[in-house]
This record gives sequence, C-alpha cells and structure tokens, in this order.
Amino acid sequence: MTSPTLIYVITILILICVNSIAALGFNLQFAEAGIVNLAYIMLVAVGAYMTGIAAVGPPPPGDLVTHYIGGFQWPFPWDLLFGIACAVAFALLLGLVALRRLRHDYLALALVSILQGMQILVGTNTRLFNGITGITGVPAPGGDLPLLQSQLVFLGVAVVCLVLTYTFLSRITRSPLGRVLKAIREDEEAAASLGKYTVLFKLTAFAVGGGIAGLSGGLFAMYAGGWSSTAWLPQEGLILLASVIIGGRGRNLGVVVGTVVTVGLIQQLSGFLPLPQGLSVTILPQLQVMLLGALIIVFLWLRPEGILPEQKERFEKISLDPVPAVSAAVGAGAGHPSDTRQS
Amino acid sequence: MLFTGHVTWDQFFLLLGTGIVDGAILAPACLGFSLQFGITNYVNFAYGEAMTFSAFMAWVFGVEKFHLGFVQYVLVAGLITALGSLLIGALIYTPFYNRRPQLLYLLVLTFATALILAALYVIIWGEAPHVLAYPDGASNTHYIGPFLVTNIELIFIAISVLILAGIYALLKYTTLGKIMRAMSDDRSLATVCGLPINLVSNATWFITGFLGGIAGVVLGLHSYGFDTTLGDGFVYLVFAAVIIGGIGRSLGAVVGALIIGLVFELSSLIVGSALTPVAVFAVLVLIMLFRPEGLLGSTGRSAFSRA
Amino acid sequence: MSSTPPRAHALEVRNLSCSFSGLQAVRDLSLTLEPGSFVGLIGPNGAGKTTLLECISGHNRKYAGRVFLEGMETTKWPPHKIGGMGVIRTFQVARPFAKLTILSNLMTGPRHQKGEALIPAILGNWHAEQREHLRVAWSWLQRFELEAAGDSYGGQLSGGQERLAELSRAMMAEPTMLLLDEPFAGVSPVNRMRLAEYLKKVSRERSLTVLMVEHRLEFIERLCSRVVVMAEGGIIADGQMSEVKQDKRVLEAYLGVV
Repeated sequence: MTSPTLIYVITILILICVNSIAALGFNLQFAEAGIVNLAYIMLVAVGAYMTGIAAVGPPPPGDLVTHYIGGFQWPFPWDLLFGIACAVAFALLLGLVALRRLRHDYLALALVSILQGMQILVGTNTRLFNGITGITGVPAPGGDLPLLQSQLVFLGVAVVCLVLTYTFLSRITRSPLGRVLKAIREDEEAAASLGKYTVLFKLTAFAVGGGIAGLSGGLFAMYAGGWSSTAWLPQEGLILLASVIIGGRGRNLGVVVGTVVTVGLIQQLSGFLPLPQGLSVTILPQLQVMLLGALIIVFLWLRPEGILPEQKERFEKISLDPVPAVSAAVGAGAGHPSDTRQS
Repeated sequence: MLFTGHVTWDQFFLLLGTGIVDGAILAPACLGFSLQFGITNYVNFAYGEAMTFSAFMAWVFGVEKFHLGFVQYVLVAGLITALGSLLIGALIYTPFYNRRPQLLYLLVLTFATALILAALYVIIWGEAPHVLAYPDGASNTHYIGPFLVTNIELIFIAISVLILAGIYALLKYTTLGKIMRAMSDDRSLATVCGLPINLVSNATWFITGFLGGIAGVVLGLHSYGFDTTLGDGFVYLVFAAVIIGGIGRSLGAVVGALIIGLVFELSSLIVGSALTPVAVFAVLVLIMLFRPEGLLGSTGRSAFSRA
Repeated sequence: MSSTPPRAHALEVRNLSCSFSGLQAVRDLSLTLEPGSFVGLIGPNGAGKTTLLECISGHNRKYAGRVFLEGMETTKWPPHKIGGMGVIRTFQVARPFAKLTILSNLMTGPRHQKGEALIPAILGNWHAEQREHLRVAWSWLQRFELEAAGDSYGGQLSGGQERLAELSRAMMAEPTMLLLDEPFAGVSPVNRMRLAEYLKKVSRERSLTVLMVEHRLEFIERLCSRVVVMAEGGIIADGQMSEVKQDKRVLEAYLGVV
C-alpha cells in the first residue's frame, strides 16, 4: 500500500473512532435515558475548546487580533482531562436547569435554542475562544513525529479512548442504573412511582454523556489542530444522530456500526463518486448532510430500531422450588415472595 | 437617570422602540410555531428554514426575476412558503404522525428535515448575501412620541398587527379555527369526536407556513442583506419566546415575542450588544427554573403530562 | 411539630381540594387509614377517586390541603419521594415499561438498588444483590404464571397480564402501602380470582395498608374491611360494605346509577 493511501485509511479509522465516541455519549443521553439532546454537539464543543485552550500557549505578545481565555500549555493527557472535566461541569449545569421540570419536547426546544444562541455568542459576538477563527495550533500526542508515525500514534490514542468509553458505557447499560434509565425513557411517571428519583438519574446520564462528548471534542481538536465555530454547527451534530438512528439506538455495538456507515461510507467514500453534471465539488458537504438527513428519515420510517436493535436484558434462570399457583395456594401460606424478601 | 454610564433617554427610547419592532417581527413567527406545536404535536425545528425559504422567494420574485411590487412579492413569498409547508406536512409529517411513532422521533424528524433544507438552500443560493427590494422611502424616519422609527419599521408593525388580528379572527370565529383550538386542547378527544384531524393538520401546516413565510420576508428586509443562515440565527429567539410565553399558547407566543424583543434590545444597555444572547438565556433559564410551563402556560400537570 | 398526627395513621388526608381545567375533582376531603387496613374506594365515574389517589402519590401536586403518610407530612412531595418511602401506586391503565422485558420490568421494582448509583454500576459490585432480587422476581412470575412471558416486552402483554406484571413490579418494591387504581379491570376471570386471593393474603402477611379504587363491588366486598364512597369530590359514606349498601345517599349517587 502506498503511503498516502495508508495515511488516508488511518485518517478514516481515526475519524470513525472519535465519531464513535461522540455517538456513544449521545446514545447514552438519547437512547438510554430518553433525553432528546439535539444540542449534544455543544458539549463536544465545550470539550474541544477547553482542551484547546489548556493545550496551547497564550496569544503571542503584540498580537492584537488573537484573543482567548486560558493558554495553559498543559501536556497530554492533562489538556484532554481538563476538557472532559469542563464538559461534565457544563452538562451538569445545563442539566440542573433544564432537566428538572421540563417536558421532553420543551427540553429539546430549549437545548436547541441554547445551542443556536451559544453559536452566536461564542462564534461571532465574543472573543472568549477567539471568535470565528477559533483556537489553532492545538498539539496532538506524537504530533512532532513524522507524518505516518504521528498518525499511527493518534490512531492508537483514539482506539484506546474508544475501547475505554465502550467498556465504561457497557457497564452502565447492563447495570441496574441502565435499566432505570430505560424505564425512565419509557415512562417517567411510572418510574417515579417506584421511588426512582428520575431527575437524578437523567442528570447522571446527561453528565456522563457530556463527559464522553468532551472526550471526543478534545480528540477532534487535537487531531484537527484546532476548533472553531464552524466545527459545531447543528449539521455537525446530524452525523452523530444519524449514527445512532441508523446503527441502532440503545445498542452500543450498533452505534459503532452506524458510525462506520455514516463516517466511512457517506462522509468519506461519497467523495469518490462522480458528481452529477453542473455541480461543483464545493457542494459535497451539503449533499452529504442531505443524504444523512434523508437516511435518518428513511430509517425512522422503515426501521426505527436501526441495523442492530436494542437487546433484551438477559437474566439467569433461577429454578425455584415448585410453588403452587395462587389459586391453589390460598391458605397454604407458602408464599415465596414473602420468604425471600431481602430487606 | 435610569442607567449608569452614558445612556441617555434618547438611546433608551431608541432601543425600546427597536425592541417593540423586534417583538412585532417575532410575534407572527412565534404564533405560527406555537400553533404548529399545539395542533400537530410537532416541535418544528425546520421553522427557521421556512423563514429562510420565504426570504429567498421574496428575493427571487422581487429582485432576481419578476420585479414584483412590495405587497405582491411579500404575499407571493408567503403563499409559496405556505404551499411548501403544506407539502412537507401532508407528505411527511402527518403520515409519520399517524404511524404512532415514539414521540421523541417527531423531534428527530423535524430536526433532520431542517438540516436537509438548510443544505439544499446553500446548494441553490450559495453563501453570498442577498438584498431584497425596499419600497420607496423605506428608511425615512419619523418621531412618534419619543420613538424614532423608520417607515419600513412601521410597515413591519402594521404587517404584524394585521396577521395577529387575522389569526385571532380565524381562531375565534371560523369553524376551522374552532376545530384547531379543540385539537390543541385535547387531540384524542377531538379524534374521538370524529373531527377531520388530518385535514385540519394540513390546514395548520399551510396557515403556519404562511405566518413563517411573512415573518421570513420581514426578517430578510429587517436584516438588510441575508444569506441561507437567516432563519437559523433568528429561530432560537422564536424557540425562547415560545417557551417563555407557554408553548402551544397563542397569546403566550405573542407575549413571549414582545418580552424577547425588549430583552434583546434593552439588555444591550447593560451587558453590551455582544452579550445579548446571554440576556435571552438568562430569561429562558429563569423561566425554566421557576415556571417551566411558561408565563401563560396551562397550570395543569407540567412535569409529566404527555403530549 | 404541633401538626404531626398520632403515629397510628398509615394515611391521613386533611381538607384536600383539587381542581383542574376548571373542574373541582376533589373538594375538602378528609380521610384516615389505619395501618394494615384494606380500604375500598368506590363511587361513580368522575367522583374524584383517581384524583385523590394521584394527590396522595404525588403525581398531582396542584392541590390544597395536607397529606400525612405514616405520621410524616408528605403534602406536595414529589412522586419519587413518596414511592421511595414505600407507598407504591398502580395506574388506572396499567403502565409497564413497553420496551423492557417483563423480568426487567420487575427488576426495576426494588427500591434503592446498589447498582443504580454510577460508581457501583461501573465497579459492578451489585451482582450479589441483583441475584436476590432476581429470585424474588422469578417467584412472582411463577405465582402469576407469567414465567413464559418473562422475556417478552412489556408492550406485548395482554391487558390482564399487564396488570399482574405491574402489581408484581410494585410488590418488588416491598411496599408498606399500596394505592391500587382499578386493579381488576381487564384481568381475565380466572386471574381475577387469583389476584383477589393474592392481594388478601399478601396484605395480611405483610400488614400492608391498601387503598383500592375498584368498580367491581364483589371484590370490594371480598377484600375490604372498610369502604369509602365518593361522589362529586367528597365522601358520602364510610364504613363496612353491609352498612354502606343501606345508605340512602349511596344508593342514589352510586348504586342507583349502576
């Protein structure tokens, strides 16, 4: 394999890893806990910006154009961890305001409204993160190595992060916590009647999802060497939504498969297809957005559970002593539930 | 003095006037969005795209091709947008709703639709700014009381008042309006009563599309040069206003629009014009914390009631 | 607190009023329940029975008046706090979690599970406790002959099975009090008898307090030591079924209608 081809393949693999991480975090919020956070990309942006300003140095003296907060020059992985921590904090704050009492559709609306406003605030109106230009020169681990090696190092980092995220999330989704989150998604009122403090559960999912968003954002910023307001437009969030809907919401493996489809097939390979006559290459991103959107709609219509549907929870079958059914047990007093109560 | 620093009463009244104008521009859009939600149960994230589309239609009919007069191109753009809204509503939204999907998929559907449309607009119209044709003397100014306003701003207010009055009359006095209100109050009851649900849903898509369309043209005129992101940059104010007023409430939408318009302009006196989104968020956050059903929202169960 | 009632009451409702959409559903209602009593709540449609239940369970918090559970004031507490203290309600239309299996449904029941917190969920040290819960869950399925359905989704059950699953889920929470809203509606005749016997047995064994809204008077008569009759948001009769049956107002308001 020639070197440019190899590097291209590595690039695709890195993008699949980082996008998978982001989509897994979105899946936790959206599919497990039922929080329709269409502004998830904002949490990715928090991680990216904060990782960026932790990693780079302050603007050079005499540069009157560049302005951003931070500039700590922290080495890897501290910059990334800082980004994650900030994303968790931001998600907690946002969740405390929005998750407490809002109905799910109000919540979605409020979050998208906040995303659009944040875009204007951070991207154009203020210079907290250097306005529309954003943060540049974010170093990546192994960035000073020759191209092929540095790409391989970053792929290694991305794969490790993906494996960690995947394991972490699988433990949550298979635990009683994951079960309660699904119960809240299905019927919040009924879950509350069983004594579940639904707000706290949703907040947990929101914050954990936020941290994972932050991780993916930090990796994005490192890999691209920077982050600006065009990196977190709502359409950037669409690819994550598409990954989850297409791959299979509520199933971590499905989300990764979905990301392979969206990033590998649609985002990358579509670039090799011949364009219809009279259309220029510059509209390719727009065509991809339209394709992703159309796929989401088609899947919602025909196969809302996605390629790999959510799995049923598996329990071991416990063989009990034969207990007569209730009708026969009247008066016998051999009630199993009361015998085995645990409190 | 009302404010510290160098703010004069002139500035204050200027911003107050601008805030009222902003509110007037927002109000039809908020009303349309709110009606859509109340009647069809769709939170329509593509509403900003309807506005963008209409502004471009106004450009096509007023500037690019047909050079229609002001009133004509406003109406034509509004009607074409209404037809587009009806088309998407009747072909995608209503049938999808009738398949009884999980409610959160409704949100995903309109979100995806919004991004598809936004991408399509970039393909068609590119990213360069476009400017609409203005009627003669549009920027002439008058003093009305303490307020300094331009002619075009007076036109915006007139359009807004006309539309609000029209919708009020529609909801209050026509059969269609009465069914719309019945569906908004209790969709399942309206279904059981044998009301023509689908027909009224589609009528709603048409009417609210018209509202969004007019709002889009006005917005395009107001921003003196716009591109395909016109609606996106504006629609978050619509969302915020509707939540503040009480989602699904017609009067609430109008009240929310005025509040947001005033907050948006007046807050620049205190926090500077760069941070006005922060002021809007602050109001939004206060509402979410203390009155999540909105100022005029129903006082029924808010936390758990199902759409 | 001077307002704390004697500990003896399992439930005390004082001057509760609740209205929505301009309709007064409950008006100035007061009611006390003794621990371990099985009380039936009957009345014509629209009498306010479900609303009363919802006010007690915290699902409706827009009411005036006060509520005490086990001697503690729970006025306007949110539902999770009331559920958390072991006062568990079921719904008028059974509400199993549709996309969870029946067994998973039951496993959401136990209160304050170890693995529900983030850190233990990650560490995974909840399996022993879960095994205990699982034993109980299987025994409930066995009891209501739902074992075969254990792996089906909550949304796939028949109406009667839904009820039984919902009740089992409630029982998994080890309740001290049950608020049952028409538990027999939609249940097949055979399972109805089973359910009745079971409710009787379990409420005695665990000295559960039960407040049950039900239209089928045969079950009220069979299970309840006391019957409260509501009409137009207020209590019009309260006592044993035999007494209540004789009450003229009850006959007018309720039995006459049926």
